[in-house]
Amino acid sequence: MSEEARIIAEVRAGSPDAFAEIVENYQKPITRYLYRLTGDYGMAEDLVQDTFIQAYKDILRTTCEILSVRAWLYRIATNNALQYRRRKRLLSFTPFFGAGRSEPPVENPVDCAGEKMAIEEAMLQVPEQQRVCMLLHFVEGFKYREIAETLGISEEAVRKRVARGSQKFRKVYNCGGEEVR
Amino acid sequence: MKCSDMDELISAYANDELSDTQREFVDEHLSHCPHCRETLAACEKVKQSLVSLRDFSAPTNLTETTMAKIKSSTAKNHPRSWLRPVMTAGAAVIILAILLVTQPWHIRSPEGITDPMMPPPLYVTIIPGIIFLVLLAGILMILGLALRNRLARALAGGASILYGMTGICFGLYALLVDTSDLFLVMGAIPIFGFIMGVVDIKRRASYQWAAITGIVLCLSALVLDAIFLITYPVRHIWVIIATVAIPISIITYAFYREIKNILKNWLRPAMAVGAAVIILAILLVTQPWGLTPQSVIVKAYAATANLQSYRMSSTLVSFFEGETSEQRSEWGFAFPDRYHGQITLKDESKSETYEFIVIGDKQYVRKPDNASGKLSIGVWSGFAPSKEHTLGILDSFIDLQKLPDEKIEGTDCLHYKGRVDTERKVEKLKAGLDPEEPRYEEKLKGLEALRTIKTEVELWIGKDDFLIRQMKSITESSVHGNAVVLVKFYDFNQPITIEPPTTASGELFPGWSLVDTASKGKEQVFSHDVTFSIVDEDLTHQHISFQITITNVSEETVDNIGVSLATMATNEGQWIWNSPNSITLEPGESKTYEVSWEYDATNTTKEELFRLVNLTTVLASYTTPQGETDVQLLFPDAPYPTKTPPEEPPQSN
Repeated sequence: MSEEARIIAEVRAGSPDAFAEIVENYQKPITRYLYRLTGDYGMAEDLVQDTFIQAYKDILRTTCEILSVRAWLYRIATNNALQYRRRKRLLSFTPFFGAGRSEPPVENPVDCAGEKMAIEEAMLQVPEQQRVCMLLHFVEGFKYREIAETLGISEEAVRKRVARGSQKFRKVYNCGGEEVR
Repeated sequence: MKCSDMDELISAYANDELSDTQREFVDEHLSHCPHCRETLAACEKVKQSLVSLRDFSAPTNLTETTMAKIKSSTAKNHPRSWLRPVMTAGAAVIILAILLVTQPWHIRSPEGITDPMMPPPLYVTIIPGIIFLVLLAGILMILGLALRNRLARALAGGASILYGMTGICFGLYALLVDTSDLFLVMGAIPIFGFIMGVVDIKRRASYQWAAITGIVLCLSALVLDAIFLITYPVRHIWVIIATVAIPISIITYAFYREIKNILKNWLRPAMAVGAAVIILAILLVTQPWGLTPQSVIVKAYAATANLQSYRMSSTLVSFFEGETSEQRSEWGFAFPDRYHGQITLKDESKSETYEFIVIGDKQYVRKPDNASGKLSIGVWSGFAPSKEHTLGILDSFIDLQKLPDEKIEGTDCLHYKGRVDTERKVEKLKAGLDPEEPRYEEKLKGLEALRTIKTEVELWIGKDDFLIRQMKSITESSVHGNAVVLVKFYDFNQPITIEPPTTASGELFPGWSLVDTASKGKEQVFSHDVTFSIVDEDLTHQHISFQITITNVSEETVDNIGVSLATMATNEGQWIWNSPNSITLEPGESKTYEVSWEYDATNTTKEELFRLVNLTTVLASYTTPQGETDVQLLFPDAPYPTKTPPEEPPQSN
């Protein structure tokens, strides 16, 4: 039995503290993922907590085996983020990136801060679905197959989204510089 | 293979996501396509850029706070978990109390007065019981939801739908058929359904669609309630508001957190809508533009009082002791006190038409040739068109109910139903009696008998001018039978001329006679004193004797006076005694008669004997100064006997 499967079994047997290990392991990557996805650090923090709370409840609600905790967690996180974005879009017509975004506390200021900002900004201009796939692949290190499993779509769809997303990213990122097709 | 189609593959190639075959294919293509090689380079650059996004610093104590939140949100014991059931129980108790106080299960049938012979239709007795049980079930269901009972949760969605549909049915019924008391129930039922639906959704029950459907149905029912409130202002408004507002506010407070979550982004617009709804409700209830039934009646009163002239036609059907009789009349009224009209009396055997002209105190009448007797009109009675009578009805109109508008003779009318406040009238008349008056007790008894008369009135009041277009009154009296009067009014303020039926020199036209004004509501010609005694020597020899004294209290000499006594209190059945000689009495003169007989009371109780004796009638017949024969009833004084035997009769000598 894998480590994670053991944890899940323990939680189902009635000891919630076992879950803390999963939280410990995944909190940073999922926060990072959510931050890159939404662009708002404060929201990302809330979403992360929501993700873990819901995951915990889901463990208790079903008895079926959770084959990949990672995929499962990221799926919950993605759904939460997309729902949040949809609601926010409904209620305010201000562009998503802009005033009101919150930044994470910076421990090590990056040297090429200017360039990094451009990358983040450009990323946020990529359409949602494509951005999800790109982040999962490039930042979180998922293979296309894993992404397909996480999101419940086909590998072809993943490939398309990554390709198109990358195209869009290039366009936006390079709009100041030379156009690269 | 076009280069644009290759982009996808190249992107996947750069990310190392191609199968061996696919990679070979792309390799081959790249070897001879510089354009695609550039694309590949661009993809690599993207990869590098995005990898930098992996740098990320985050606080590392997320675990603690997250675990804490996990534990608190899934804890079995909320810090405020006791509050919710208590609040809900409180709401349920208040609703129950309101129901018990207002008792909406005393529901009238839509027709109002039913034939006293028939038992009340089943639905009048069953429906209130069902309603009460339904509401009780709702209260228990809410309690179950609050206490997290699994069965309640499973049923909540379906129950919510049921309540919504019931609310809608009642709402449509009340709007189309009209029963104002049902509204009280209507107001409560959909609220229950609404609460159950909301709580059900919050708990993420498996059949959320049921809860959502229920909520929609309940909201529709509440909208119907609002429409009803607009159309038919109802008494006990405060009860309805309490039934709606109190449970909503308590439940909102109890489930505040859940509602807040649902409303998180909709709170401000929801509050604005809520405030607007409350203001609208207050406006509708108080109706400062004054179309409450009371204000309409007041306006109708003023409009009627100001009338200079009008015409009316009325039909009276009365039903007494198995016989139906009908009276039609048509009248014109001219300010201030002139009436001209015709009355047709019809019963099984005959039909007669009288024509009347009333000017001030004087009444002129033209009798039909086959007239059966005297007839004079009490202008104060319900059969004549006096304005005072109509105003009197408006004044004592209570228990008002608004019915759907109707068109009468092409005029849009407001339609109201209510009853005459007989109690207040009787009290007023009683207060007006002078204890020193002769025969005060008998008049008092007569007034008491009036109490039993029930009069239900329907009014159709013109929407524009508040003039009464039609009036229907149904009178029920155990003593005088039932009567239905339908009166239509028209030709308001049209010129109507009413002149006395006399020539220029004062001679009456043929066929007309002047009704003696002195005899209108006339005082008795005789005052009388009639007593009886029953001396009981033994059971077989009851000695019954009547002493009759009459005094001429009029101002003229009365001739041809005869007294007769008819009684059933004899062993031979009915017996009639007549005074042997006709006499004449001057004003102030009296005469006394004594009549007695024996009665074997072996087979009769004392009460029965008293009753029989009380059924005796004593009449005095005489010739009036005008030369007409008339009759006055001397005994008994009340038109019909009282049911209980009198006290021990005074033993006279």
